[in-house]
Amino acid sequence: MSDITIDGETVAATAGDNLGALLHRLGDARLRATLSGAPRGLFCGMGTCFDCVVLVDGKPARACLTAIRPGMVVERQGGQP
Amino acid sequence: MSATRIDCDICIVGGGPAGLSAALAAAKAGATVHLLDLFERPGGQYFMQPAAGAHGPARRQIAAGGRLIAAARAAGVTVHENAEVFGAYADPVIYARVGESALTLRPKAVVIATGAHDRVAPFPGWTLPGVMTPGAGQRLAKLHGTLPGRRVVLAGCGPFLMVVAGQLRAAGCDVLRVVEATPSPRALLAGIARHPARWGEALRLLTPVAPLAGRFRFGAVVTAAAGDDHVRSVTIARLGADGLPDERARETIADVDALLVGHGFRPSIEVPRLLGCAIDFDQDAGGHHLRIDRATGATSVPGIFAAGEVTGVAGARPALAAGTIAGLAAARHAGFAAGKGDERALARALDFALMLRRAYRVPYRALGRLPRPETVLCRCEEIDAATVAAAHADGARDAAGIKLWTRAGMGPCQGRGCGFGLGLQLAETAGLDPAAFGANPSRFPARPVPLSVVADALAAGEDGA
Amino acid sequence: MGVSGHIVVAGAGITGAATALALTEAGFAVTLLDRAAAGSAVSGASLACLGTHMSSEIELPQLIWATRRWAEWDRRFAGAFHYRRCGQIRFIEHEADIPVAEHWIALERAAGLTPELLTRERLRRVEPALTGPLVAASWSPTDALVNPFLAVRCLISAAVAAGARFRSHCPVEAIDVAGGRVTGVVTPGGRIAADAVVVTGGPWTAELVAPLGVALPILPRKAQCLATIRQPVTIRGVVGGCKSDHGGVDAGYTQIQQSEAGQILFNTVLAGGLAEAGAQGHVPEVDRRFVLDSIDTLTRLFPALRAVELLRSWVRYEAVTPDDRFIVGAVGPAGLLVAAGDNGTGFCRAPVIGEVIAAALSGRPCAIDSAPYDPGRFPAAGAT
Ligand SMILES: Cc1cc2nc3c(=O)[nH]c(=O)nc-3n(C[C@H](O)[C@H](O)[C@H](O)COP(=O)(O)OP(=O)(O)OC[C@H]3O[C@@H](n4cnc5c(N)ncnc54)[C@H](O)[C@@H]3O)c2cc1C
Ligand SMILES: Cc1cc2nc3c(=O)[nH]c(=O)nc-3n(C[C@H](O)[C@H](O)[C@H](O)COP(=O)(O)OP(=O)(O)OC[C@H]3O[C@@H](n4cnc5c(N)ncnc54)[C@H](O)[C@@H]3O)c2cc1C
Ligand code: FES
Repeated sequence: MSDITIDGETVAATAGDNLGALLHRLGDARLRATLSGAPRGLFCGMGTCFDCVVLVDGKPARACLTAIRPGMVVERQGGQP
Repeated sequence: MSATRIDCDICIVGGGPAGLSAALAAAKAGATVHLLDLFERPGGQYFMQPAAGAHGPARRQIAAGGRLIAAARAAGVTVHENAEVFGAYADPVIYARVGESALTLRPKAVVIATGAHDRVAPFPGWTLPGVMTPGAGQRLAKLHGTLPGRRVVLAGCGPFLMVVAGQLRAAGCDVLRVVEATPSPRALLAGIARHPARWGEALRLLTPVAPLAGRFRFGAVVTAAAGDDHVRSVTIARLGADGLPDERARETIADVDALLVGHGFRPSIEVPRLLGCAIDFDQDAGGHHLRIDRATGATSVPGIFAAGEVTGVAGARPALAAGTIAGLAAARHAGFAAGKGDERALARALDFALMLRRAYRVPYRALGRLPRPETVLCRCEEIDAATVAAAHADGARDAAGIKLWTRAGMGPCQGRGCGFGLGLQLAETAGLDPAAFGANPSRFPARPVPLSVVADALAAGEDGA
Repeated sequence: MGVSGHIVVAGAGITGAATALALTEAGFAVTLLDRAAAGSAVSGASLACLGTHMSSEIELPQLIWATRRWAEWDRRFAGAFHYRRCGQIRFIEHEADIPVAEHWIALERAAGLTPELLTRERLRRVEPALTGPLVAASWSPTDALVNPFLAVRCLISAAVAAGARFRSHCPVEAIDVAGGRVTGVVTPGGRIAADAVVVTGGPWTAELVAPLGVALPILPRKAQCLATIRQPVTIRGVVGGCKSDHGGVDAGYTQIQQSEAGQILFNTVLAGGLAEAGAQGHVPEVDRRFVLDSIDTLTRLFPALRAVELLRSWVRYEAVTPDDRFIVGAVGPAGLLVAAGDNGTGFCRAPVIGEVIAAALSGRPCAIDSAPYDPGRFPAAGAT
């Protein structure tokens, strides 16, 4: 187990696991909100739809294509301002 | 700042069945082959490889894919994982991003094997968390040990629904309903009966879903998903004799926490479009797909070959056969003496694919009727059906016109997601022809990529770099 | 000229849209046609800055008239095209260019405008993210931006509301002439009779009128643009390069701004971007050199943007004339008019073009001096 930070909170996670899957489990499928405030979750799961974009270490990244690295800082809001 | 430049004989874009078999064939012919794939591990959709080897659902398939990958590596193929191709010019030169680094290839020939992605038509509630594509649900279960939900509805059209239903059941989901638009399984069963060579495969496909037989609803579509901040219920309706949803024959399924919807696949043509490869349109083959010469996989651009779903959706077997043909042709183009591949095997595989295409009828008209005025059609820019209808009323008649006047298709996915739905909606409400409606043309870069990576990749590709 | 009756306007970019509106309001029956979607050529690829600053000494009165008309339209159409008076900066990289900027500022101030020279400190306050190595900048606070797509749509809708007809995907294949007069246009859907035809076909204008013996000196020139993913507000106004021997229109031109949707857009016209006639029919991919140069310029001026993601790029062909000015008016057979030669700054000028054409066809005096656009300055154009 290695700790990562999600929206300021420390979360235990397994390095190498898929970030999108982790966020799907943690958020009961909710992953972020759009510009208009509508909730969104994983949609395509394979990098084509960009619904799962979050900030990873300050940079936008598709959660469904991101492997968990120890110490990673994830912000669910702001990947798509 | 970091960029790697590789000069080689052949660059393969996409590491699914088509890309892997092309790579293997070309490497065996003596060519230096570099294969680029977006995912963490090669395999593509059919041969996707979990981190911890073959366990859980689809064990056989995973093992077969593992053998193909091993054979390709053994033949000398260099596999670049997490490599997302974002640019291409017909020199040829291929630009990819690997995290924050740039990877530039200068091959003599290219094989495009970028596959396809799920095709979804919009309906009220389709943006709710918990509503996903069957492909997303499959990846969660097969690769990431995560259930898309506990109580799942699968809906759409095509044999893929059955595949995913079986896999999700095996993974522990309660599959509440499988809502298949095709009126009955009769055409499918009759078709399979005519292809004895595929009986074993069909049996492996049907056995895991047999216990779900009572949960299938044929001739029906999902008309709405509802929930506050998460899908909670799903409404389905039977298709009437006119092919449209019959509002009287409705059923609401409660206590749902995942709805997986897909109406087949759309070929991923954005990279070859950057190269200028010609395309054709056939809604039943997934819409726009690359035009190729089946005997060689040659596209309209010299030195650029293609195989697999990107040339029209047909499944894994044709992808494997066509991959070998394209890999050999690319090797010949690069100056190696290579054979031609088995065109008859490809023809047989395509024959089966054609049977499947005929057995499943996507109810395009019904799908075009599902959105309500407030239903979002373009997920990225949150453009609703009323906004699109208003642009049409003001004179917009094609994908380009709708995009300019509404922004539908201008977001990060660049129309990959909304193109199908926009076309259906305007076909049904305004009588526009989906083929003439067109799609958002692909432009550099094919996928969003940091400016620094673009600059590094382009600089590395310059002559003398 | 004093034509009455039905007028076909061929080409629904911003020039055609403004022309159709002006003609409809002047009382003509108007049919506006485009061979593709409205605004899908240069106008829909535009950065659509409405600027009087450092644009043209000769056309300064026309530009002032045009920008006022745009502001009126904004009020009249209740913000339909998102008019935004954000101001324009022209950055100065070389001390030697300061006198050039001062020259333009003096000229524009004499005409009643309010541009000024900014020190580096004031520049920092006007455009905080512009932290690249600059020596100064000029600043024109009244320059504005519009949403180019909505501007085309708004003017077409206004024309249609006033009685015009609009059809997209209806190319004009030929212009019919009988007895020395224009009688209509040929389209794939059939012939459309007309008492006059106004060709607002951008870089395609010359080839459409060539069969009528009209030789317009219009060539296509490549303009390319890059767009990033949506960002929080980083760039407030329009940021362009100062005209100079080191930069400027002839040596290559840069314009950077942030769209209302948040995308950062950067447009460059490369030196020597002029293409041969006919090039406009084929839209290529952007040049790699252009992408590299543009990213280099952008990140030199705005170093904070290096990690931002590029989303899309596009190429369009602008219509270029030998003296950088539109060709507007009657040419060749009676009833034929052209309005093309945007030279990369046609969005701003569209209201002027509409007025010149409407005045010419109704035979009334023009509200502005149309002499700078007179086709007669090119004898082969066959001005009438
Ligand atoms: C979501 C989904 C799930 C599927 N599941 C099944 C199944 O379970 N059983 C079945 O029989 N068929 C399935 N199919 C059908 C499948 O398309 C074929 O069976 C087969 O995988 C096609 O092989 P391919 O090589 O053409 O494409 P794919 O297997 O799709 O391989 C394409 C590869 O190209 C990569 N790629 C695409 N774009 C880029 C890029 N820009 N840069 C780098 N790499 C890129 C992709 O990541 C992918 O790995 C599925 C299809 C999809 C879309
Ligand atoms: C990246 C970029 C940035 C720019 N920035 C600015 C700016 O900030 N400010 C500014 O003022 N200008 C700017 N411009 C320039 C401005 O956009 C153009 O000058 C202006 O849009 C030209 O409009 P137009 O209507 O004359 O031409 P077009 O938009 O090219 O319209 C011509 C139309 O005619 C149609 N057509 C052609 N042939 C036929 C036929 N035979 N039958 C029917 N229809 C036909 C075409 O389909 C097209 O729609 C910029 C341009 C670009 C590319
Ligand atoms: S879920 Fe579609 S890109 Fe990640």
